[in-house]
Amino acid sequence: MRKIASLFTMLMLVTAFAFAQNRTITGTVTDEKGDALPGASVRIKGTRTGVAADNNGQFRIQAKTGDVLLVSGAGIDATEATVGSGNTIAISVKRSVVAGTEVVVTALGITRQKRELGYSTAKVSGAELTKAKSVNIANGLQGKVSGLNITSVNNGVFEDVKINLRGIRSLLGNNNPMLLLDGVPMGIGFLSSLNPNDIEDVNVLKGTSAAAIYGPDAVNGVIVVTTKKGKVSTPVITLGHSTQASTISFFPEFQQEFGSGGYGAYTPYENWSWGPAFDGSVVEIGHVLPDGSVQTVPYLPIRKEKQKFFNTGVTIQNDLSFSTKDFYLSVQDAIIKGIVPDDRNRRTGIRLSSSREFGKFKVTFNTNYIQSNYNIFDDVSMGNYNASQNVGLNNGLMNLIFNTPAHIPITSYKDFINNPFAEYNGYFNDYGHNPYFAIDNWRNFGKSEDLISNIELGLKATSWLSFTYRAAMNMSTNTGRSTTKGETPTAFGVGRGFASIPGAVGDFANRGSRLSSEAFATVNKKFGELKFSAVAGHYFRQTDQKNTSVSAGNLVVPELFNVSNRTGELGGGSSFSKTRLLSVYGSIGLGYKWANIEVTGRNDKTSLLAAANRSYFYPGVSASFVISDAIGAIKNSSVISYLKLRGSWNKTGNVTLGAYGLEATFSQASGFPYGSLPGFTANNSAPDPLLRPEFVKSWEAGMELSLFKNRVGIEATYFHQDNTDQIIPITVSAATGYTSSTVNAASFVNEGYEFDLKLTPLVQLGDVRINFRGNATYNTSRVDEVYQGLDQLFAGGFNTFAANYIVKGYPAFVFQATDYLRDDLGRVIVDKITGEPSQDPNTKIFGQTMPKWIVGLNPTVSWKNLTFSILGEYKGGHTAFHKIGDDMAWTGVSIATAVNHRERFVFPNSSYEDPLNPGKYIANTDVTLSNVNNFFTGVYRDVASNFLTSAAAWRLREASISYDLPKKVLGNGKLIKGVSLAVTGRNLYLWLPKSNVYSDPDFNFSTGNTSGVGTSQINPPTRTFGASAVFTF
Amino acid sequence: MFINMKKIIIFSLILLMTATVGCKRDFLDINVSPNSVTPGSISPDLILPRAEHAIGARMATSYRTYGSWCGYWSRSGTYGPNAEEESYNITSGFGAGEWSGWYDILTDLDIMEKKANVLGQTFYEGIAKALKTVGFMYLVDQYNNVPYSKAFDLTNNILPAYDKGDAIYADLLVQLDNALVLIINANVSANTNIANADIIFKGNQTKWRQFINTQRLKLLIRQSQVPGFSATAQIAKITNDGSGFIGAGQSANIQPGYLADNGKQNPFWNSFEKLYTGDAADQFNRANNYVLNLYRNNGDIRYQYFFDAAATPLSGNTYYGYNYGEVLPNSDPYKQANSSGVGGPGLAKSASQAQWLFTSVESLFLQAEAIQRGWLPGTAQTAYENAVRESFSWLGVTNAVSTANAYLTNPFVVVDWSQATTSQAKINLIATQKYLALCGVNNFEAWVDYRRLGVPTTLPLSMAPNRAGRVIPIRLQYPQAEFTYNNANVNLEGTINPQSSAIFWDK
Repeated sequence: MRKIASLFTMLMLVTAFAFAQNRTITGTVTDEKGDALPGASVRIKGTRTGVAADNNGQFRIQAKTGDVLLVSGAGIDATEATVGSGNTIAISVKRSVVAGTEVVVTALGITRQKRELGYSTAKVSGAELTKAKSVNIANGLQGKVSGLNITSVNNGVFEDVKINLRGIRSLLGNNNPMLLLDGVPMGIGFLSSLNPNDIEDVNVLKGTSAAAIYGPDAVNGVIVVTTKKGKVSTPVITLGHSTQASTISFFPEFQQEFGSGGYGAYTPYENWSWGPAFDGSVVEIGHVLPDGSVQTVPYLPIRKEKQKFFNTGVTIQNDLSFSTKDFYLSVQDAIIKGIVPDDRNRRTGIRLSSSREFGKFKVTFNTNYIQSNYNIFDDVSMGNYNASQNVGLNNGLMNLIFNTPAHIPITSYKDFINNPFAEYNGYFNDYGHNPYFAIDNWRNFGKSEDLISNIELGLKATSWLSFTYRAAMNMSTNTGRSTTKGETPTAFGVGRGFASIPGAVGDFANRGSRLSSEAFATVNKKFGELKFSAVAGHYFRQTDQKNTSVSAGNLVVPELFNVSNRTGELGGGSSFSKTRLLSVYGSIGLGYKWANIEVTGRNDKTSLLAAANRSYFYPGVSASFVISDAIGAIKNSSVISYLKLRGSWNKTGNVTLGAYGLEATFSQASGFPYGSLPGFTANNSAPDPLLRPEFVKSWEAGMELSLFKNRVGIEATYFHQDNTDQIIPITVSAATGYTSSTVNAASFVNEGYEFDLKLTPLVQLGDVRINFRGNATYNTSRVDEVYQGLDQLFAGGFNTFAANYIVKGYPAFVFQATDYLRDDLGRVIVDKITGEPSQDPNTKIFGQTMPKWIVGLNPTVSWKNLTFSILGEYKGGHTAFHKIGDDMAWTGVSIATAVNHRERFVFPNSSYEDPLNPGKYIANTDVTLSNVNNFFTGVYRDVASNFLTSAAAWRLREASISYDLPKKVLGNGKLIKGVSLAVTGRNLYLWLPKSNVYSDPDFNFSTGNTSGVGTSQINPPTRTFGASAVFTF
Repeated sequence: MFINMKKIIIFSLILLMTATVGCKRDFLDINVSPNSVTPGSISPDLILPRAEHAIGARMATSYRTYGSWCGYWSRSGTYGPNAEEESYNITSGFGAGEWSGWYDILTDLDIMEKKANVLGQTFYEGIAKALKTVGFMYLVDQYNNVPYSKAFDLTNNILPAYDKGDAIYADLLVQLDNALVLIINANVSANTNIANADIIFKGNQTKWRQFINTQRLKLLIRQSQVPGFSATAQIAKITNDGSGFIGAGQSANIQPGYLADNGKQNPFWNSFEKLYTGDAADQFNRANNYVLNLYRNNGDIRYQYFFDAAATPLSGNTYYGYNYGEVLPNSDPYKQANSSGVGGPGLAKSASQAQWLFTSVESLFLQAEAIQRGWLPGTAQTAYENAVRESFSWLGVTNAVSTANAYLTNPFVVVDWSQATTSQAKINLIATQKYLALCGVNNFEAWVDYRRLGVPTTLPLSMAPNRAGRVIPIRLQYPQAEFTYNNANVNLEGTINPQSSAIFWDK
């Protein structure tokens, strides 16, 4: 029978006997990672004798052998250590999360006690982040924080993610939270460049209020990343390694009954799988080659053949760090080999963090250089080539693989140079390339480099007044190249209709920089019980971007990838942009015992808007009340340890517009210039030149509750955001002269609830401790207005087929898609003769595209040094579209196309018009589809609702078992201070509803605002297993 | 303490300095694009070349569907059926590029017209007006009612209302009046760079007047079957101008300097003959058996000029076509390489050839019909025969005139004037020969005349199994984008049935 440990175990007294004289004991207090803990209180139990540890965690105390030292302090578990015979003592304590005393890094990098905050924050420690050894920090945050929706949009070597906090505030503009790295604001894109092992912790400031002082960048919340800094004077060296393997975890369902051909007749070179049923006979595939040879195979499906095309992905990470007091240096090398053959990426980074104090001055310098080198299949170039050839369905690698008939031994075509049946002219398919040839022919490779540096000067002028100046520079350079090897068909190939693929090369160099300068003064003063704080500051930022590209589309000498090796004109272009932002801001806070209130204000001036509109002010207010301190009855309650209520209101201005966005432009097109003859055409978009900022008014209210001596922690928050004056490129009738116009238009409401639950421990049984953390988010939105006379807007996807739309009265966004023509009862209307349904010319609204519910569940079991942790995540209440389903219907490989073994059937739930009574419909029980082949390759594909499914998914996001080797094994830390071993898994299982036979519904064609649109460029989802070891010296 | 205060003061000063850095007035006035031409810097001579090219390219390459519906072209045996087109099942997704494509070109012309007006460059203004009538003609001919008077005004008409097709046509004729006046009175030298920018007539006023007169005649001929229609007043304007029409050998051709390079080839060549790489550009469109037989069974050599010989003939079939909409078994041996491409040597001569926009052949047939209708003076038979001869010449048929004359004496009903006894029969004969003259040259005109006159009378329907009794569509459905972004206005047009909702001139 399970015994629940007493809550008071840890407080039980241990009897100690005094049997020696007092002497000076020197000790250090460190946390579980060996970092010094400054300021901890050290007291001899049962006495009043006590000292505080200094900044290096060191202390001296008069004690005698057998005395019990009680170490306590903010943010640590009270720990006892018995004085032995030596004169030194090392005390390791556990950092604890004592409600309210948790320290949170907020705006400007200022640390605050969580109890004082009027808004919702969440903290994820570096250790929690790196549990499953994800390469991208964003992946490490998945499922761990309520209100945070992190979506992996594809499964490649870059781990592209989309991050939203509390849904969206801008319909078509930026919804990325701001990244605040060591106090310096920067674009969220840098998150993927950082080494997760450098991270001390991540604080998530969820609402706009957390960031009212940060201005436009922070309207979508802030992810505050604090990097590790050296803490103790003794150097610590950490060496880490992890290796992970990725394999496909989910694959679309294919029919296994029919091979290549059309209308039931066998064709050896078809990409249609509309041939006869498999019968095991020996059939030819492809054409008879000029030498008379022809490939033959048994006419049977080859199981799992398509899966075998993909490799096992491998990710290898090596880390080395060196830290000592005020100095931290780290190097990381991550090598990622994708599941698509030949796709790889390697990220190498170095980080240096150093600070020094000179009396009242403190100088801090952080610099980080990261380099990524990638080499991947270039499906965009392949798509462009196929489009130029009017070849449909071939713009993604999955099209080439998935649409291959089931009896084709696709993995036998790897050697497309020597194998005559795999070679360009000899490949069986008349309508698609050998995928092995394709991934070799179209490549994309390049290097991205980030340099992130900042310098901080601090002056602590008096005990209550300090000044800070920060200058920061972020520089990103991307240089890359796309190459097409090219191919010239033989006469045999030309006869099959193959065209040449011109050799091509495109080079680009993009360079972006952001310089910022910020100065602020902070005041913190106590007048008895009254705490006064104030901040006043000034911020200036300039961004510069320069993009240059040059290309040649017709190389002369094959595989000499230089633009000078060409015929025809040089392609390419260049663009520059520069923006500036000037801001002043301030805040005033008052605290009295259990109550805190803070007022903020900021004024921005931006170069992006016309002079009349460019300056705008926005205020905010927040308050917190620690009820458990205010009301004696609660304070003394044995049940409630902590209860805080909080609330905030604020307004935030945001300009979601790029540089030079106020004027319509013209460009040259259609081959112009022809020599000395230029030819311009108006571009498709025309903006309102007097655009105003988008404003978000938001409020939130929440409570934080701890029960049973902090064993149970509950947080709940309601948030509500009114988003008005959205800067939106609305799609307009082409008859206006443009297809889009950027205006201040739509408004929408975004609201929801967030819940966090911590049970620490849930169960404690001797040394076995089970903790549980869970979070849940409910988020919904409603579009109140779009634009005069316009109730809906296209937002992204396959327009007029299946796309994300903004529709008045519905959540942002909803799918609008084509459907069958239906009668009043919702039955599909079919033709009385052909039995074929038809497409409704009006598109219809289907479900929302962003999840209503996100739930994360994270139980952890630990026994001594062994920890087992899993993280489950659920998203639901939304809809996804799978374009590949449409493509797979055309070629007849999808499971749906084999319904009723392709015999004629009565369309389910259908009706036809009563010939005697037009407008009335009779239930169809006997009219069968005249031609199943025509139906699936025709109307079925036109009806996008056939490929819409629930986007709900449960996934086992993370699982890890880690083991810290006991110190005894390591010779008590003489050489090696610690060894930590872990076995990790990511995305181990994906549970999808039955209707979704296609792919991970999280995957999306872009990292933009829209979601749930899957295309053939998206790789199948994978699961990742790995092992890691970390050595500390 | 004093020292500390001093430090504070110095530090505060530094802060203040950084705070005030760059508080010059123009510090934030940096939002002028260094990348793009803007409305302030554009001029008519920068717009005209691309607009002229785009009109020609659209006319020459966008109407393969109508060519197929009207018996010119057919899908090659290499491809699977194009279900929607071949079943005549026209939805809002079909041909949507027509709407956006023409409005895109018309927008440029509209901007050019307004800019030229401000600059007093009346020649450019007149050309803009004349070319706009071409674009709106194509829009009305495909959609009937479309936004016209409320178009191109984003600020005040973001949801543009539709005008009636007949009202638009009436106003196009007024715009041609205006264009004529502007061009006649234009001071050519005040129209900067027009000799280079006008890549059709190099700024030749007389040729533009002829173009306007011929365009006017085309608009009138389109309306000829409208009950009670009278062309008299409009014809008088042509007569008064006195410049005449586009004459024999005077086709309006576009030449920006096409060459055999990526994106710079002649549009027709690039779409239907060869890519800049030297590969075949078009494996899809092939000769349609209907028109191929009309040539071959009537002693008409022109099929060898409209169509290519098969690259790899099978069984001696040098010229081989398909039946439109027929679903061939995969075992059918005739693939793209064994059949006749549509970029025949009379049409696709080289990658750098000029792109015809308004051919002399079409002009002569318009005049022949106008004479037959009694609108213009002259002998209809002579005009008819001249038009047929012009077709042979235009194609570059060997010994064009004598070959044409021999053809004209054939006793076949598709060519023999003497067999056309009634006025309507003569009009139909003219239209039939126009049909035979414009194969691939101007596929759109075949569809117009089929709707207007029912010519060619023997045109077979698609053999698509799912055609389900439908007839050749007589218009396009409005594009889905209008239903989505201009819903109230498009719905005012009521239910549109592409099988039965006729264009106003299609009576």
